[in-house]
Amino acid sequence: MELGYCEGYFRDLIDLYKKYLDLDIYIYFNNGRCFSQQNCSAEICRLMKERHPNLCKESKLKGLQYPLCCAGMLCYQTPIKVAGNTIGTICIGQKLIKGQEALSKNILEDSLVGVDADSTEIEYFISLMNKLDSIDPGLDGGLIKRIEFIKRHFFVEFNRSYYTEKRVSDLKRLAENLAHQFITPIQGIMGNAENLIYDIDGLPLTFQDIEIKEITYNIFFEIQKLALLADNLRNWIASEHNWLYKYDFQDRPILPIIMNSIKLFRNEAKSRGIIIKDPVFDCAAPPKLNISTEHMTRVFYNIISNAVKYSYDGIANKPRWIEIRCKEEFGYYCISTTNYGVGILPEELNDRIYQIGYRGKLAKDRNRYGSGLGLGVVERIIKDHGGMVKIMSEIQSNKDYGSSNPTRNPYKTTIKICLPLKNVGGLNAS
Amino acid sequence: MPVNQKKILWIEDSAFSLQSLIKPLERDGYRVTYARNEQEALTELDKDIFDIILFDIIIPTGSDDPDDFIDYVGVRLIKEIINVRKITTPVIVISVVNNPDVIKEFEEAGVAKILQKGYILPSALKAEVERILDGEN
Repeated sequence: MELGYCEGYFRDLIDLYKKYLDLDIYIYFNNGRCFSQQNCSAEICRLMKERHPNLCKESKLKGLQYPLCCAGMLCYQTPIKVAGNTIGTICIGQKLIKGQEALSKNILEDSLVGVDADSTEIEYFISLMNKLDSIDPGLDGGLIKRIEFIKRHFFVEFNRSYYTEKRVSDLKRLAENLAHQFITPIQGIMGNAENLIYDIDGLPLTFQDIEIKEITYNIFFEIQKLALLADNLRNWIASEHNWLYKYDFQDRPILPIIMNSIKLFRNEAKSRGIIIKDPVFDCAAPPKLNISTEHMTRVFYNIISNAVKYSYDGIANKPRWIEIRCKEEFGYYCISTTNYGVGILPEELNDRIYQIGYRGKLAKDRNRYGSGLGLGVVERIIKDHGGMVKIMSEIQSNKDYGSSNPTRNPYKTTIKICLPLKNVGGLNAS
Repeated sequence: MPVNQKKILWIEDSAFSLQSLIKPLERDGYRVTYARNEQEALTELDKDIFDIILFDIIIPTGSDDPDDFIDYVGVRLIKEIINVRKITTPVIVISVVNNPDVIKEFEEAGVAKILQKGYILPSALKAEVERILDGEN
């Protein structure tokens, strides 16, 4: 039983009971978690545990599975059962019993005497107890009615919440298994494609060989895209588990990584009249950066993949283009990738755009496929490298950039990533 | 003709699908021995001394005993190889597993490299093997 999912839900539920039913509720789960109101009686409970842990321990020794209050502060408890198994207990009370205030106080006092509390301490506890309201447990049966109502409501809601969360959890596990199953055949095909390129490169070229070579390269590029897509899925699962990425930081040149991603998408872009220009450097030469090559490959794959995906098609004599500019800025090396096409609305240019699974409103065009995983992966990796990501998107005029569909003006969208020039190290740096 | 006579033990239950990964190594004369499960791996290690071990984490035990089945057989196997049998052959892990707790076990065992299965190019694996073997020599 994974209760972690339901924590927030339980807290809300308890607040609701408190507000509308005027009851203090404690829910103890078998895994040791306890959700409760924070009120005066909770203070008694906290102090009791802190000062007299043996008192609480004794209640367990007496065979009580749940930490019932030995000081008599609880007046009702009922087990929570799901599918026949007791998963916890709802405890209600923490108040004085109307007409029996003296008795309640006596139970508290006796308990404290039993653990050698001195008179000052007993007095202090009694004063805390006096601040509580009295409840009438029996006169009109109201308390019992309310408790039974809570119990029924709680069971229904808990079951609904539990089974919904369980289904989500099962789907995540399915996605994880599928990602793992995809990876082996993808790895096999990618290896074969590279080996084939090696073999073909050694042959004398005829017309047919050129065609075969082109097809082989296409298979090689496409399978790499598939591998990185499966990897995005795997990273999403890792994020859901709160797993840290494992980085292998080394001083590496960034240019080959960018060029490799460009190579993957150049043919696809060209077929749509989009030219991916070679990177332009505003500084002398691209420096080596302290990066994890494997992860930075994912970053540029996602950025350039998005740039191509969301570019409008070029038209005759007026191709579109994707530009990549590299520049040193204030101790960072910044790489900006700009495309023209489907943009991002100003109100979306915040944390939401990086959320896993979130797709921009304009990107939901049925012709634009996408998973909503890419930018989240990019942001996480860049931040783990000690860098930052900035996204700019603004609508352009048609006359400047042309459009295959004159009713739609393209957005100029730039994704700028900045990586520290100095070796400030990422997460794994010592 | 290749003159390299170095020996690789490849512990991998999907070796057929992934044959392409080691083709450049075989082309260069490396002799590859396959082990499809934990038991086969230990048997091969009893029989021969290898220059490098390529190692998958999720492999079958090779046992018929259901009590012997665990999620990450590789964790048990790497401890047996390095800690119990004190075999010092460098190990490259090639696996889909990215669970940090499992990866940590391999790092602590002292494996030479951990590669994430999925986008390893055969040329890159060959370079990694050569780099590690050069370092050893």
